[in-house]
Amino acid sequence: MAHDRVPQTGDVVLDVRGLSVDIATPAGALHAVRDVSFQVRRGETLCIVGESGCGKSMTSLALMSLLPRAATRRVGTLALLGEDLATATRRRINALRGDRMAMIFQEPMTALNPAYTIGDQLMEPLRHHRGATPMQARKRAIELLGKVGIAAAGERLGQYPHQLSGGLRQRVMIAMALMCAPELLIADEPSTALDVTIQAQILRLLADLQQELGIAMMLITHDLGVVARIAHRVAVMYAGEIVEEGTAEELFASPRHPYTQGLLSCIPVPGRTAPGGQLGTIAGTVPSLIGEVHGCGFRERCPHAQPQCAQTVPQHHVAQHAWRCILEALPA
Amino acid sequence: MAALAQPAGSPLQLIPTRSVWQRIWRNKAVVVGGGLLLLMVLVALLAPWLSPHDPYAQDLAQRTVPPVWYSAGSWLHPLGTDPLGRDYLSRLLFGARISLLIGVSVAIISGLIGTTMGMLAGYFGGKADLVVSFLVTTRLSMPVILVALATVALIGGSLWVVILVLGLLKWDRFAVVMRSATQQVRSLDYVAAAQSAGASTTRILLGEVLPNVLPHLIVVATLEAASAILLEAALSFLGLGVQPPLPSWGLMISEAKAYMFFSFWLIAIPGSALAVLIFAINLAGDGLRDLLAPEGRA
Repeated sequence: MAHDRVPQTGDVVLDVRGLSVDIATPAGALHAVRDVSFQVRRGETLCIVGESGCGKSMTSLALMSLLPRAATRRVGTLALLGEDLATATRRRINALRGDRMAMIFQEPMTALNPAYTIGDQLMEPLRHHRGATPMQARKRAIELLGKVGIAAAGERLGQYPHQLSGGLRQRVMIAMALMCAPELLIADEPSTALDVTIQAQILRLLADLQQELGIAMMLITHDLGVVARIAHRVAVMYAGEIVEEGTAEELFASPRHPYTQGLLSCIPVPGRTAPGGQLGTIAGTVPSLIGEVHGCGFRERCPHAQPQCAQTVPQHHVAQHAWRCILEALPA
Repeated sequence: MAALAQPAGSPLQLIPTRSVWQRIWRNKAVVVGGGLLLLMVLVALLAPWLSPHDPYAQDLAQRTVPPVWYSAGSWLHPLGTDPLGRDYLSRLLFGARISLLIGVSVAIISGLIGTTMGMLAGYFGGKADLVVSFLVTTRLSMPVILVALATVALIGGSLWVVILVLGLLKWDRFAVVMRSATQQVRSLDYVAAAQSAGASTTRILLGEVLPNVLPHLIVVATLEAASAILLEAALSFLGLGVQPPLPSWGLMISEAKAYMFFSFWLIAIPGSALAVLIFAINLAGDGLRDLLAPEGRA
């Protein structure tokens, strides 16, 4: 996997240590996110990949303090630019959200308020957080709409969301997230709800904006193709845990965790996958995360499983590459 | 920054822009209902100048004069006089003030109570929802007319007592409708997006949720205003609402019931006025809902 963008890693923007999210269900506590730790640096795109229900969306919501009522967050360290978010007041969180940290949602069709024009909604964060005058906010809105590739920005400001297509709405959402020039941008599957050609445009746009503005971006996705295109670093989540984390090059070239390897073998690669040949599959289903969970979550589906997989799994490090497995290296 | 692909041509021209007035004109329900309602409001406001006579002035020489279209009628009293010789047209015009005042004030009072309760219950759910649902159930278990009758009988009837009693009793539909509408809006991404943009709860409730539940609110408000007007008429008819000599339409019907078989128009005139007013309010409310739906804006 060739990667043309070299990450210029700067200061740590987001530092997460020991994040857990439990969801109360009638059957007991569901451990949606289990002891997850990662960092995002300035100028870097971290992709969190995993299948549905692995806890990646819960992770992003926990970072923004947007968890649903039934969910509780426990965290060792949760710091944005060195400021502790775990103990911050609601007022302080509100001041940071939309200003220093912003989020782009999956569903552009419902993420814009139908009762207001695009312009009102775009200008709102800047006026609310920075006390900008309508003129200043309008100027910034037009500038950003241009940046996200919307023509005739001035006229667009007076339109309502239902007059825009899904792709345009997602561009507006991106512009809105960038209004206050945030340090951290969290995008939760920003292209999933769009059709394939628009998906590519939106991802290209996000990658370009991230480069141009040098911000820290966290991209949540289940699409490894997306990851290969724009990630600097990748964290693979499975059953609420990050099972492997490393630079995009390393992870795609030499996956260390059996799950990552299994995921990569599911994707056809031009030149390597024979026409008519079988793609890889991962046998079995995701385990239930309700009740006591211990050991490796992947052991029931893993071809290399050992009895000691049910115990605490060690973590291995090689330079920037980390993985949780009893094996130091996968058997060839 | 790479130039991103845009659809060719100006997409803005594809969207037809119609002025607000054109959209109102196309909505016949609003035109007819709103027109009638506007007429009634004007008549009520201008009653002192439009009325040919003092609505309270009795003239025993001119008792139960029939309207002008009867052979015994005259243009002196276009709608005739009541059994006390008071000019019926003047009483009808002043009566419109009472009906409209009751409709609007009751809708505002009960709307404030019900909308607050419903939005809090719908937005916060959990305990707030339990409390509000319990209050709504309690309120629904008491028939409005019975409670109103008892209260008015206890503290005496007057215009303001009727308004307060109805206003404090008729919030249930507001609460139920606002609760479910808020629940629906609350689960949409733009509420989460507003939270992620740093908006406070008050701001989200008033700025994000309220504008999107407003069409429901307006429809309920019109229905409730109409039903409050009818309730006032019923209470006045039973002698427990507005007290004579105030010219309430319900009271006029009540006073005329003894003459029903001899002077039918005494009941028919205020009755028709009441029916037309209710019809106009309901029609206008229905049309406003279509007009205000965010998707209908262009």
